[in-house]
Amino acid sequence: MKNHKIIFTGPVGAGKTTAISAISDIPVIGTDVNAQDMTIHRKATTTVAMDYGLMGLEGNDRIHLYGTPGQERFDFMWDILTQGGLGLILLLDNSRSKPLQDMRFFLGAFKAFIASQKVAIGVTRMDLAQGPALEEYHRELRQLNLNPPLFEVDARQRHDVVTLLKSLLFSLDPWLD
Amino acid sequence: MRLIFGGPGKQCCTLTNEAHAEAGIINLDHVDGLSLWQGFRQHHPTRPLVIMSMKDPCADDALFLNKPVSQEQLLSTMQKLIEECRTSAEIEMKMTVGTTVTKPVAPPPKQPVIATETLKDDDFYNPQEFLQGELQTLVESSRQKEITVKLNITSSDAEHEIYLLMPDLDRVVHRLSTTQLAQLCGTPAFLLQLTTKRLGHKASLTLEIEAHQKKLGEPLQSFLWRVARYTSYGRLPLGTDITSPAYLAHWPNFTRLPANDNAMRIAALLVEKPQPLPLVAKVLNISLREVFSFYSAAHALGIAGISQRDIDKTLQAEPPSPPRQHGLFGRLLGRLKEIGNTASR
Repeated sequence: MKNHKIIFTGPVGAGKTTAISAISDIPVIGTDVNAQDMTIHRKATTTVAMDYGLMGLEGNDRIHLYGTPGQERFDFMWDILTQGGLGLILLLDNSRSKPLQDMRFFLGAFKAFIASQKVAIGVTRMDLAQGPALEEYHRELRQLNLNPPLFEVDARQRHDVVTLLKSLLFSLDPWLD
Repeated sequence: MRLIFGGPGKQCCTLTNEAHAEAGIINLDHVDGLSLWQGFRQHHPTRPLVIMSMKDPCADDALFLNKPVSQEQLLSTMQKLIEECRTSAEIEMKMTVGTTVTKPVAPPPKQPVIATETLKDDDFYNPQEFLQGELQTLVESSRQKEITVKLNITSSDAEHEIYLLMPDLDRVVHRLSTTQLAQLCGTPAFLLQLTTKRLGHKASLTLEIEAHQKKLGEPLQSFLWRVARYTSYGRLPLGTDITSPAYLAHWPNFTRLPANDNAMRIAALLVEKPQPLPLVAKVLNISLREVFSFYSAAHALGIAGISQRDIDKTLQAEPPSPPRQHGLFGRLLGRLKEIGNTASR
């Protein structure tokens, strides 16, 4: 049996826990606590250590799905979580005040990992607010010299999460059939 | 032909262009009749054909109709052709009349892989000669003028309305089924009556609110993507140089587009580096038609084109081979497909 992992990251409330729940074989093991800081304005509870889900594959291989805590003060955990990871899913909440800045921050924080692996980006809550359009994210990515998959995503929709993960896989290996 | 198949023969067949047709009618007495016949057979060796002429050419590969042809003779011959097609392919058919006729239906047959050197004129299409061109022009102008536009389409058998809600919503409201839209897209624009009307501020606002609240219609990009794919039907926009590398500016928004895994594979390859389209088909081992179809749709969205940069033309090394973890990724993809199937049930 071999173990592998995919990491889900992004700011508070972007839908990481929900996305992992959509594809995990097991109920997501979370470390949510009642929100105390600014997070309380966005949701009642928040992840303080990490979320954990699991996908079993043929041949007994396992894909561990880790969700990082959204708050930046937990960024010391990110390096540890990404070690040996297959790829990164970055979820961004378009209804936050500066989602493009969020994107820049997370792509910077995971720069080394993205350079060796790949990232796919899902933008959530696009229907809730007049945030940036996808084209603006693409423009920002071009400035960073990156061109990863970037889709509108509803983390509650399994189809969206699966499509995002597939795009990550095809980025890593377009020969997959 | 237009009168017959738009009237008494409406239930029998519908006119469409050659690429979308599933059978053809050729007037052999036309000045180019013989070369039309030869060209038709060269491109469509097995496609059913009716030949009309003053003199029987004794063709083994076509049904013959002696001119002058009555409406009844034509319709009964077409009926016979349809029966033959149904028997052989078990699908309802589309038909071409000299230039063409169809009865929409059934998914198109799997298209053959074609070699680059065999590309012919009918492997290309001019979007401006179809509904696609009209829609793209309308989208552009309504976006610039920030207005909502209603497009009326009258075909031989129906009338349809399409509302373009621009620019804030970027949505298209219509009641076309997939089959109806595909049929309209395959019909040359000269066979359609297209009229546009600018909606007043109040009507526009009411429709926008309703569309937003009730989630009416579909995103503009998804609509244009579908229109381009149905129009392209595995062909390329006229003027596309397939020997030069094609680029993809960025990934299409695949969660909101009707696209399959191969579309994502093509995107993954093209965003990495511009590649000639035949090379993409070869590397990914998929039909060139599928690659053309993807390119046509992405081109319609303005995110794909042929690279004019010299550096892209000089760096034409074959892409690298599959990564070391190919097997693992394959199993993971299989699992995701299972999950995806569960989601769609």
